[in-house]
Amino acid sequence: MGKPPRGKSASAYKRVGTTYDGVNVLAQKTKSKKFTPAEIRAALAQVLAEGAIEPKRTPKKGNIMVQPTDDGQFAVKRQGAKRASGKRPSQKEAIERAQELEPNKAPLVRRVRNTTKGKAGAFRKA
Amino acid sequence: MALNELDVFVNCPFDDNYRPMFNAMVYTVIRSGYVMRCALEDDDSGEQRILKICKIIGECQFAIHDISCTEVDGDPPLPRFNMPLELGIYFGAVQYGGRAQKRKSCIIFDREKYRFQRFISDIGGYDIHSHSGNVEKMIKELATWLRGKPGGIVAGGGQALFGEYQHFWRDIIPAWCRVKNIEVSELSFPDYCGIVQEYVATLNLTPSESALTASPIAAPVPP
Repeated sequence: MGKPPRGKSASAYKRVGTTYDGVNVLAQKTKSKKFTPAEIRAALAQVLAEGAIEPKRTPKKGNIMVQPTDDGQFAVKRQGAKRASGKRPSQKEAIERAQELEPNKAPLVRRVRNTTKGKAGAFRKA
Repeated sequence: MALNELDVFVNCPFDDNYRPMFNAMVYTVIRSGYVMRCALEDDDSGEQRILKICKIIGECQFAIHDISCTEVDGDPPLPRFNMPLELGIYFGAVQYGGRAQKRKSCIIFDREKYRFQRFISDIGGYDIHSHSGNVEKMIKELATWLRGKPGGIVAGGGQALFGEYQHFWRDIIPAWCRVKNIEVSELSFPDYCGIVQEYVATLNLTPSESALTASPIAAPVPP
């Protein structure tokens, strides 16, 4: 008769991350048959980028900026950040969102290209 | 049989009425640093369900038993015995399973603290935890119990964890399902576990830091 399987000690578990309060996030035994871990992460990244929540790695610094994106929307983004804090379909809504995030500071908004006032393409305070 | 030190077996109903409680339990277990195990984890196995359950119970160091849903149901009306049955298997493992199995530890939930005396009085002497059918209360009780175990200590405790879960369930899950073009009700247990696992892995900011750029529907900042 073969030996019974050895149990798994705490250190033998595969860790997929660590939360801010030091809890190890362990790989679960059950695996989805519809979605790979990469697909789940990619969809989650998209959700987070759209502004449901923004878990960033560093404390907030720098100005908040509103700038156009490639898909015709307007991103609200801190200077130096890799990801936008939110994305809105119009510049006006993006400015409102920026003002929610930093109520006491005017966001910097990229000036439209076709204008006679000021320098086209530069950032201005909203 | 030797134990997996951070595996938690969950013995509870899997019907739609109990689903909110079950989803909250899954989140709490994974967020507290453990591996979630239950009878839903492998649907393809040709193994008899009771044998699968016995195997999982044997492997897990910890267990959560919820005996709150044993009322009669259906036509003719009959009580549901699966939860007390699995609780009995758990006690059998502790008693007869050898030295390693004696290290097992469990939490038993019921709707009210002393209701069990009317229908399962043999477990008198165990500390039965009441959740009153309330998800918030269950999360707080479960998180407090898990804090005393080796998995991890969640900052802020049960109240903070409940706030996190509310945000996850109300905001993250519907948005994730929209991205994948799937209904929330279509998520299976393995799908849901995977999402919880990957989401919790993104919680590497303090709540106050993430609140600085969170949307208006973001999680509340703990006091």
